[in-house]
Amino acid sequence: MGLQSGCKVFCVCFLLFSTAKLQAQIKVASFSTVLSEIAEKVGGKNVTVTSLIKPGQDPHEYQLTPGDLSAASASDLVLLSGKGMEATYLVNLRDALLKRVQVLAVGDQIPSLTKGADEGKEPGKEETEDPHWWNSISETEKATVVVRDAFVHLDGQHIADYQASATAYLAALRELDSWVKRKVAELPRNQRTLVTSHDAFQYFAKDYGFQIDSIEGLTTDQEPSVGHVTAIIAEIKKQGVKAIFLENTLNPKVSVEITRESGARSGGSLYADGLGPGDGETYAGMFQHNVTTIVDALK
Amino acid sequence: MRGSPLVQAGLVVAALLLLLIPLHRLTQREQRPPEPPVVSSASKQVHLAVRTTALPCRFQITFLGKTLWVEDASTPELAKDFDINFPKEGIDLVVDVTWETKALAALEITVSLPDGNAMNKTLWGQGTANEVLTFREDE
Repeated sequence: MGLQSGCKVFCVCFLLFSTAKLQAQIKVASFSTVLSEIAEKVGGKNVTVTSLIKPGQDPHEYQLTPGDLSAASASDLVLLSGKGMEATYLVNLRDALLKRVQVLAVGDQIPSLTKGADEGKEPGKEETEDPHWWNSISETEKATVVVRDAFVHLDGQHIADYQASATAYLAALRELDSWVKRKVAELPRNQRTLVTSHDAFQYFAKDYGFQIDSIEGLTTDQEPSVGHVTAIIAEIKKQGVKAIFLENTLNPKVSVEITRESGARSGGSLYADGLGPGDGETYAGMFQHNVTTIVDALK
Repeated sequence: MRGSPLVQAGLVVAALLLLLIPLHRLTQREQRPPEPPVVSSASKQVHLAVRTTALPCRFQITFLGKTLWVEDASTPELAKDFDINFPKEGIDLVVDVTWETKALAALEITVSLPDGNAMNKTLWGQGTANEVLTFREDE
């Protein structure tokens, strides 16, 4: 190899190295399907996102695996849903991560709805934060701003990119919200009672004027008591609710009992805990599916 | 009892099967007619008044997915009566409006009930405005 060829190889290597340096990406590990989408939309080509919770996976039942811990350790930023969603493994995760890895519990940066003492059902019971903030578009807008600011803080070279992408995503969310309001307006306000398996739609209810009666609690692992099921059946009959929305996490015997006793039919399945296969592969698709299913079943 | 053991066994099974009929009737869930729901709904004559700050103006008001009122307004104030359910939870009206002017304009909608209670909401826009307006007696 002559001097000329050697120079060429050096130049090529230098160019490759420089390009790689310029294209350095923020590595994000996400423990939320919705946050994965936000990170991809806002981060664009400047960010690589590893989704540790997959679409359709129940985040309430998620167990931290050694493989996921390695992926989180190799990232620059770990995104969590927050509001207690990761409570069962958060301490282990924080202990195991290197100090250079930033952990951002996005939900903790936005206002919460709470459940418990304020309802007067169980006096003395501690209030629990409702972690299902993604079922409100306005909360998701706030989450987008939190993620954008995190990227801006980590990567000052691409601030304009992050701001432009976030602005575009926020505009899409506002358009989605307008569509939801128009679709929900097809349903009389006195028919907006949403009976669901687990209590995941309080943020949705607050935004669009629904009343929620949930069979399970805030998580999918809380079995309903007989008294609670009886009360739900009585409420469905009293309100004349046409349809109820059950998930496969609910004991099938309870599902059958409620539909048989109340006379309400099954209204279809909803994406309660984030993105999922089918219509729910995107946030907009998930929301449109849920709203269409609810409105068409309750009309 | 005399006779073939097979015949005896058959008689016992038949007797048990016959017993199942009254047993099933006694234990089956009682089929009661469903109780009437107590959802609040009352059809009321609702008076709608529309006032626009700019003309010409075209507006459409949609209620429960159906067009309630479409108008190419040539006067700034219009009113109509409609028989609609107005529950205590209120109603949502979807309003789409277009003005010829691109300057800031407003459309005010007033909903008046037979008991004299009136509620009003205003949309603002430049050229167009689209919004879902909620009218509740307790607001």
